[in-house]
Amino acid sequence: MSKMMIENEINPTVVFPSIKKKSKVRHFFKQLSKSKTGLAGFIIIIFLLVLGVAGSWIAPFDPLKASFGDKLLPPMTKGHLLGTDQLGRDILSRIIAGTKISLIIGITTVFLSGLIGSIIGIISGYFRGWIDVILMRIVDVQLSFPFILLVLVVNAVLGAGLKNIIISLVIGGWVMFARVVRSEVLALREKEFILSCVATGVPRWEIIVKHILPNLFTPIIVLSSLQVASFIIAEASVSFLGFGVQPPQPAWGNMLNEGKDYIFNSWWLITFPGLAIVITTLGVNLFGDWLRDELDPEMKGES
Amino acid sequence: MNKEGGALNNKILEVKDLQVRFNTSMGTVQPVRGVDFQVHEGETLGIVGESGCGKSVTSLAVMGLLPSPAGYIAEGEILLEGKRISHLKEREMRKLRGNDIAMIFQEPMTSLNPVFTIGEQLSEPLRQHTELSKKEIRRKIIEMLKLVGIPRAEEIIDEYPHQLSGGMRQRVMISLAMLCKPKLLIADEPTTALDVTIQAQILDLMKKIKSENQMAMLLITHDLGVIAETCDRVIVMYAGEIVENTDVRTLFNEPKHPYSQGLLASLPKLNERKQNLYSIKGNVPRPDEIPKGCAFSTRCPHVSDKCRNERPPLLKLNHQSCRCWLYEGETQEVMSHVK
Amino acid sequence: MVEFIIKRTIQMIVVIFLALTAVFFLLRLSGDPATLFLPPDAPKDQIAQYREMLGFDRPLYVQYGDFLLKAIQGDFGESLRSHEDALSVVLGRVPATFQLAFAALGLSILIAIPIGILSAYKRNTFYDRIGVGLTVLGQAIPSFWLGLLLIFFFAAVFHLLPSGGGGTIYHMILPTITLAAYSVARFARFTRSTMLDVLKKDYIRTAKASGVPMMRVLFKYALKNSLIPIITLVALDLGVLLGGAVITEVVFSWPGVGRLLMQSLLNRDFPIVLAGVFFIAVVYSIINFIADIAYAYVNPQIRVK
Repeated sequence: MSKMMIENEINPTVVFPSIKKKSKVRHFFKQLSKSKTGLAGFIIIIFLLVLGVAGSWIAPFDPLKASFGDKLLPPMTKGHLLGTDQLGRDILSRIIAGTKISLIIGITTVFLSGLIGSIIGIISGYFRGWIDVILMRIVDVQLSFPFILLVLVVNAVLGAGLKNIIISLVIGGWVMFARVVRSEVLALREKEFILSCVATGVPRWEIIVKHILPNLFTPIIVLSSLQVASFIIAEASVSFLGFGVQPPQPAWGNMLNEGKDYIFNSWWLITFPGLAIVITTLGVNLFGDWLRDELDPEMKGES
Repeated sequence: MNKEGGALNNKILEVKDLQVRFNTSMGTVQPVRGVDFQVHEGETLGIVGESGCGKSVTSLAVMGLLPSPAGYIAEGEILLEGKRISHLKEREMRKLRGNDIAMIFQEPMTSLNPVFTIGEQLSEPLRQHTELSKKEIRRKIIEMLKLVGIPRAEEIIDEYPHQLSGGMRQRVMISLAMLCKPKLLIADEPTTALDVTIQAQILDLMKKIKSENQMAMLLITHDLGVIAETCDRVIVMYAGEIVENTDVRTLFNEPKHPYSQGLLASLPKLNERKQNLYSIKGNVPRPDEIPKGCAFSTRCPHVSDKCRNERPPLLKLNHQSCRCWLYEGETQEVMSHVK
Repeated sequence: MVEFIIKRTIQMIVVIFLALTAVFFLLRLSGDPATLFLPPDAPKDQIAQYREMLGFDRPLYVQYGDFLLKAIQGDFGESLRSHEDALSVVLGRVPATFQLAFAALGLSILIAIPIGILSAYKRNTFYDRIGVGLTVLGQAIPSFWLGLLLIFFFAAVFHLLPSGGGGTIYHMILPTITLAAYSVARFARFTRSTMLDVLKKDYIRTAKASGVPMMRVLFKYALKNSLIPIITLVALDLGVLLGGAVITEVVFSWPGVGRLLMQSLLNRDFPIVLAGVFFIAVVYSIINFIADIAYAYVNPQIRVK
């Protein structure tokens, strides 16, 4: 008998006290404090948010200011904690400035692709018929191409810049949401509480908004937490390859692109922006993992 | 000792004061709180009780299949033919499983591996415990399948579980268990998941096999009808302990423990109509919610203050043992320790 | 089974067809193609002339039809730089990319699956926690950064391995490791969680009750049950691998399709871009197709009806 079955035998009914709204927040933090990794991820994210918002006040130097006399200074010289790049710009300040860009990109792309993907998924899954067939063919076509390559090609065609990279990422990213949401809707449709709504003549829009949407909340959050990291790395990759966000606007990806020519003598140009990416992705992933475990009780006790 | 008179049969399984604990996310719970019983050669002992009483955990403990490290035997011992097996190392225990002790489980639909053929799965016990060649193994498997009443044995061997019905699969499970002629067969709810007509067939099969091989059988179920059909002796479990230990006839004619009485009274009587179904009031307590004193005190119609405060020991009576203060006066002999 | 194969083949063809269409229109969208083929300061009438010459003045659907017809025959035009046949140029670089991709795939499967299995078996012990920690880290490190770091250590500091180019097997070591790293982390993690699920199943309990030793339970039985989701993941991740190959090839100047594609995108050498995209779409579709077939084969519930 599996452990799960035994736990069920031991605790045939698990009773959760009803949680009121105010203590939902407290419940959130209480649960969070129980998980070292989840908490670490959360702290990293908060830290990044602070940097992103207040960065321009915290940064010691002007991220755009070039100073040819100070180029390629190693870390801890002349007040430059992380050194300077090939144009004499302070790396720490540029990394801080880059945080804002990464945050903007991360949040908007997830939000937009989630929105678009979910709407399409709902329409596809609920109404079925030829709309479903067409939309899913489009999804299949897109999925027949690796995500990063797709973003790359689209971005190359659209041109550089912040707006375009966001568009490219959204174009690449909506499909996952559409697919997941659609399959959730398909499953929900057949559930009894929906069937009874239909039987009592509840209008379709009301069914979708009042009954189906709340149940999609969890899977969408789960998927979003998985996608954020992909978007961040995709953006960094695209910028690294020379597209995406262009210099002199500081983004971690293009900093790595510029820095790669100087690895042999000035290792700090690539190390710190890279670390920034790693820490960010790590934080997002750790928090996302914890969030998923919390929201999906079946998965609990897995790791 | 065999209550039915006759020759003294060998004691195959002896369980002494078994206590099993689990470390769960909600603390340590003790699903089995001190259980003693024996099963002799050729005898079928039934363990009956509702979900959560600890009967399945007991059987897993005997097999050494408690989910570790969460589950473990905290106290007590298990003896197979006089030898201690409860604290054997895994490697030694493995030699017994499928060999001297075998087990069949409740869910034939999920107990067979979907990506391996029946033949491959059936050959495992023989491969592990004997030195037979592939050909001989195949022969033995076919022989066993025929014995359990599967007609197309040679074809079934190369088929996959999803191609068989529930009844067939349970027969396959029985063959799997019987291949090495075990001394003890543990059957955990073997027919619960099957249709009623198939149930009867499977039970008959098990009885036949048992008597042909003079096997000891431990049958776990919540179904009193199955007990009546197949068992010689029966123990009733409640909240992790034995509350009554007797032979089948006595259980049905003279149950002493209020819980046993309640179980029997709950059986709908087919030849009487217009009666309310009796049910024992209350629910089976969770392992972390067991009442002080007698575990059944919260639901017992004869409860007294003593019951609420002191846990009764298992008392030996004329025809049975019973864990109830009601019979305190009838005996001086106490059957088990109380902690 | 045969029916399944036929259905999937048709699906694959449809998908490739639609992919080509998408790329065609995407490129048309990005501006007047004629201007792309000429230097930016070309005089207006030269542009018009060029447009007529290349057929860009014809109605769109005619251009589309023409494009499709030629595409089916493998004619994507000539590279704007070298004037060689676009598809041939792409195909010429294929072996290099395949080499890299397969080496990385093989390496990651070889390392990741045993790690995942043992991790699941020894869950929550010290080894498991380290393993899980490494996989989490592995998924957070962008491959190009890893590549740069590896170059830094092995080429710049220790002068052990070349930092770029192709040719010898030494050139292959760093790019392969870089490309494999992310996949190892993903596969190991997924293998572990799949195994954890499988180990809870009743049929594993049956195997144990039959006296099967743990190693055999893990590596013969549980592994086969886990293969189904693992194959799905590997197929899914092949896309990530292909994408990663592009980046890795750029970092290490590895002469493969990815690097070619990148350079062509930068140079706006559209015939090559088209040919490259077409090729990747075909390859990826074929990979998915094979993965589906493999999945159907491994799962007897589909194979044996």
